Amino acid sequence: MIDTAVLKQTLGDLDEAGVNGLLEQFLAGGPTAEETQSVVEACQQGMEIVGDNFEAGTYFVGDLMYAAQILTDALEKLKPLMAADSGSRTVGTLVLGTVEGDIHDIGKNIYKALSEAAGFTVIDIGIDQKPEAFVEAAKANNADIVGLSGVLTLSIASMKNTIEALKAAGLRDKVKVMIGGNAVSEEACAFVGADYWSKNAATSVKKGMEYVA
Amino acid sequence: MSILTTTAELLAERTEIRNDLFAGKRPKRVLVVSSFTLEAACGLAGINLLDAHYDISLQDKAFEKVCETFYSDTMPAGNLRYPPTYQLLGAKNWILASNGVVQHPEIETMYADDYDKLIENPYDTIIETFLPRVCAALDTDPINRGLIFTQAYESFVRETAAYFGLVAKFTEKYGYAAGTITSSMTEAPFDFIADQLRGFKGILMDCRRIPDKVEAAAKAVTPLMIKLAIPLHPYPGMQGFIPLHLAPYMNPQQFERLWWPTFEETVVAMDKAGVGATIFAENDWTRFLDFLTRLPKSTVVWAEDGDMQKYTDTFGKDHIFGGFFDPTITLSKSKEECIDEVKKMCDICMKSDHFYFTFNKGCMDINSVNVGKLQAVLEWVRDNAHY
Repeated sequence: MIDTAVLKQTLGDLDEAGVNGLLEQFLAGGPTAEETQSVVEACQQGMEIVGDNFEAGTYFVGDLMYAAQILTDALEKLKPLMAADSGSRTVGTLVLGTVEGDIHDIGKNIYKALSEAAGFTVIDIGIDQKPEAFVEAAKANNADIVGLSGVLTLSIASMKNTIEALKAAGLRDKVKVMIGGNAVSEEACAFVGADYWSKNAATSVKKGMEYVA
Repeated sequence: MSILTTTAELLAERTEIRNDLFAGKRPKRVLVVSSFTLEAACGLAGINLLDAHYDISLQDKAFEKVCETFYSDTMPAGNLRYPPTYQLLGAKNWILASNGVVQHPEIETMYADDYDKLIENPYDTIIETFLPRVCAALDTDPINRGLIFTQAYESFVRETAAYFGLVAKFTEKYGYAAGTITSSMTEAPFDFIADQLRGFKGILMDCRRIPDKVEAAAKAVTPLMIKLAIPLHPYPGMQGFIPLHLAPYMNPQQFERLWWPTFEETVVAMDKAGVGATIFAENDWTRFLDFLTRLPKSTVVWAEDGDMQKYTDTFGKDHIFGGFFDPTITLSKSKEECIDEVKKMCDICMKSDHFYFTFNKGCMDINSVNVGKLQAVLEWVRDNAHY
């Protein structure tokens, strides 16, 4: 068994080779499902270090994406050894997509990776999605949070339409709506009627954790 | 209301302001550069955007509506992307979204193991390997590839000529000063590799995993980016447009080593050739102001976001700058509050003689602004932002 504190810090330091080396060592030892779960949790805690550094301004978006890739690769390696029920340890369900008329997905994907690392079940419905698609996914998955992403200014109108559709479907009071991406602002948040806005994926994840706590 | 009534008088005043600004002299007032894209223009005129992409007469009507509605000292409406050309090429890097807006999706035209090829022979590799990957219609035998490429180029020239014909028409009709931006367009070498070849995620992974190759590739494509920016015969006072992209997402070490040097080389080469760079600083570039301030005096920054005071105190000492104003505030704030925002901005930025007024980015959606309040803002700047 490897030292999970070292693994956590190694991921937090964005040392990809170091993480890979530790995981190889761990996997060579024939770990149990329980041990694997503790290693997964160490990786997720490493992502928290990354998120803190991002918020502090010492890490940047590129660093965040790199960390998310290291984590994704690590989970790929660990997945076969994880217990079948470990997937059910979810902190909440997030329905996420880029709104109608906008095909950008980079910010959405960063937020998705960080939310998954934080333990959310993420239903990613993709780009250029109509309001009805968000409504259907929120309903079908009993979402706690609906995340609307958009880069273009015209996505603000689509966000408003989507939130109106959630209202019409009787879902607005059951979910928190967060908007993110280059287009959003405090004014946009007030205009579309969202609960929270951010251009920062790490703070959005923290807010999401508060919502489901 | 302006006391100037005839087009000739308007043209004379606007040209004087524009020329003074670009000559480094304090203009009589702040130049107003309104900026609306075809999407917003069609929204304003009630024209179907998809139809307008394929019918220049509809673009004509849409642009005219913008000119009639909003004050500007330069042509206030523009278009950068022509779907017919991209569709002939089967382009995957510029596609139409469901609402008819041409957008750039995340693509991977070049793979991580293609770097050596690109570094060794960038032009041939782009033409022979990458273009057929990103343009499905070019992924065919050389003869048909040549034919399709020629057809697309012909389409591009026709679309561009028609568009610039409209710009010329409205510039003359409304007495606009010569535009402050596009006469040519290029990209920072690093951004070109990121946006058109490796993709946003790919390049940021490469910066960590294979920085030497990224650095060499940026150097390799720099001559091509310079060539794109400089026409055979630049006209006096010409500006070339460079939309900047990746730097705000990079850490300082990556920026200084991988992004900045080849960008600086590009801007310096443009300046030497008589082409100033008008750079759109997407996102917040405040942390890079020390770098931007080193650029030739012909460099203009159009800032999306950032610390206006710092811009004024550093870059604005010797360079032209503008931007910052988010027109979407007109939806949530009262007219008086909107004007107050602009007044505050002018109080800060007019400490520099080199400030011009424009939006934080081209307005793409007319529904994202309140037309009446935005009109009031533009007219306030015209009537009150006097030096």
